[in-house]
Amino acid sequence: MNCLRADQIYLFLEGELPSSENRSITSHLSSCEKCRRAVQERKRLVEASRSLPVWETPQAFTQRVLDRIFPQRITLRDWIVTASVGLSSAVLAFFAVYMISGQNLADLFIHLNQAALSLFQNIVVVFAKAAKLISVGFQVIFKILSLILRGLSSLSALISPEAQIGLSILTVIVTALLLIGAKRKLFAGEKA
Amino acid sequence: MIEDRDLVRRTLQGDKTAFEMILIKHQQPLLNYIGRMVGNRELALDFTQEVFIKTYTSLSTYQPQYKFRTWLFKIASNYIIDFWRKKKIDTFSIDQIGRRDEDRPPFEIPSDERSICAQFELTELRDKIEEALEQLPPSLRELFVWRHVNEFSYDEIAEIKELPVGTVKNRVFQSKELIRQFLEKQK
Repeated sequence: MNCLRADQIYLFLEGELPSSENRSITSHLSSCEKCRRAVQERKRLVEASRSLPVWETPQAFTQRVLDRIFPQRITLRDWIVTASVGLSSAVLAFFAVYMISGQNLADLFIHLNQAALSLFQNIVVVFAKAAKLISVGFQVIFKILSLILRGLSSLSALISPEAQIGLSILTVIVTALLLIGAKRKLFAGEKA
Repeated sequence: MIEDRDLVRRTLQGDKTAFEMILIKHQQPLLNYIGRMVGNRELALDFTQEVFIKTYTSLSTYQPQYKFRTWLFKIASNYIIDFWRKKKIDTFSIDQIGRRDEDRPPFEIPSDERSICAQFELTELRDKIEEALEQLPPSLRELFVWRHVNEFSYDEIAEIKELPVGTVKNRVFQSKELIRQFLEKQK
């Protein structure tokens, strides 16, 4: 038998040859040092190729894809639950004020009514002005929000949950410091 | 173990968890392929996501007589080729590399061939193979990754690329010889 070619060696290593050819190759290898070395060389190459490092997917990847395919929809049931929770909270808040203030229930209703009326009058004016502003700014805000959401989604796919918590805490601290700084700056004149 | 075909059928009937199972099963093999084709983790994750979305939207066209994963990887392969076309990379000429006789590494083994692979520790050898992979023409790199990283059979690769099995085998062997040549030059 002639010396082996590389393609024959690969077929031999992968067990893709008929048994008769396998036998003649094995017999040839027992007497040919050059072919033995060539087989060992390619065997090692194939072994290393089969155990190349794995690219791991981030933990949040599956959810990220599912969210793109099946976007969350707010159902009528969700709206009802939200409205019920809001209403219950308002009633609880009212009774909490009643208990703490010690006012007569009728007086409290009157005060509340007056406050609501004054709030409504103010709101109508503010709303008229705000509506114009919102209509102009809506598209800009929407784009910024979608960019932020996209950024956050990419970030959450990249970093671990622990790192995300750390980053959130850091963001809160920086924001708080900025607010304190802004407040000091604004009230600097008053103190003086 | 639930068959992919059943998961596809259930997904088409509206079962979201069935598609989630498809995702969990195939996301890592797909990322390992796409990652090595584009060479950038962030881009590879985006591409993997887009391929799954494309797969989901085309699910009704899947023909159950074919293996699901060959269909999925065919979508991925086409997606990557489209990307290169848009980036104005001439995929046709890329595909020609390795087909021309002068580019093919010879299968004859010279009598003075050095044993290169034995000179590297296994971890180092893997790193060198990864480096060499980046130098391979994409059309050969793709076949190498499917065969050795994704552990596809030659028949499966032939089905994805719609090529004769013999051609696929030859190209996979060529890719390995090219990698060996790269390692030889490195030493």
